[in-house]
Amino acid sequence: MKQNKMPFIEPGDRTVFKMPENYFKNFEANLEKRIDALEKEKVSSNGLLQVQTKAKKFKFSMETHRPILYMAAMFVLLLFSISLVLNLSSDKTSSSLRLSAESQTPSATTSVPTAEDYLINSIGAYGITEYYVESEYLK
Amino acid sequence: MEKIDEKELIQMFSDENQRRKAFSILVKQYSESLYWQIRKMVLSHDDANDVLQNTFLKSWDNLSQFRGESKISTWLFRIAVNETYTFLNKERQRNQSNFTDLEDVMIQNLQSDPWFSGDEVALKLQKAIMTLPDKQRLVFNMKYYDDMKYEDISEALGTSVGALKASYHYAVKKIEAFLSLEL
Repeated sequence: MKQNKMPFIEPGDRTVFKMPENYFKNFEANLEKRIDALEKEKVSSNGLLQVQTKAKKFKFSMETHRPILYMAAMFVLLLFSISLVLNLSSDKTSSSLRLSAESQTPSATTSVPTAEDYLINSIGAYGITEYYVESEYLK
Repeated sequence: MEKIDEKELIQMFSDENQRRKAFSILVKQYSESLYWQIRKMVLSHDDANDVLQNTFLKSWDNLSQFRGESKISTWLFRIAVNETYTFLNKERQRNQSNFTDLEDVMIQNLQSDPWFSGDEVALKLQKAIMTLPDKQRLVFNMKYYDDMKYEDISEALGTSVGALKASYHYAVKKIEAFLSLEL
């Protein structure tokens, strides 16, 4: 311990600090116990650590393959949208084709004569007014 | 106490069967000097005991990484210093949330500490030292109390001799100014 190093004060030397008796002996024993506990903890957590390492590895592979996964997802999305567009356009084409086909061939409903058809056919070359006039005249 | 050459100790560290024995020797060899470095920084015996335990636990954990590039004493001392700073910073944060000053709390605790037997003058000197920043306080303690050579302090702290001399000079001036008002 250095004494009177400073001119302004008698140094408050470190002997003013005390410690329990046999402190260092007990310290070593306590430290040994703590290290034992630490080592046991390490061994027990070793299994858990292995699981964590595996999880980390999986995460790592996910991270490295992420761009490929993104690309695959984009590709699937692109295919889906293309097929959707193609389906829509084919629907339109088929419906227009069906319409045109319907207009070309007479439908079953038009081939069956109705009362109206009969009436118009019976009028024949006469006009509708002449038909009514004649019928009035006959009365 | 069993004194073993540093090289031999490093060799023992690399052998898993002898590591525990080597560590035990290390603790015996350095615990006292490290305790005093820590104690002068944290003042309380209980806190010094906690920090010293953490220092050795950390060194045990990192023993396999020690390659002998620096002296064992320097390596241990640096761990102890880091642990001390960590402790002081944590305490500072804890006190900040209570709107109290760590240095005031430490001095108050010192007054009622059964492991402190200093008189009023010694307490005032501690108060004066507590006004210094942590690193300056460390340099002051190493120079003033332990009378270490600047070269040795420089090796331990990794700071240039010139910077250490300046730091110690300013520390003394600050303490003188504080005590001239107090005494």
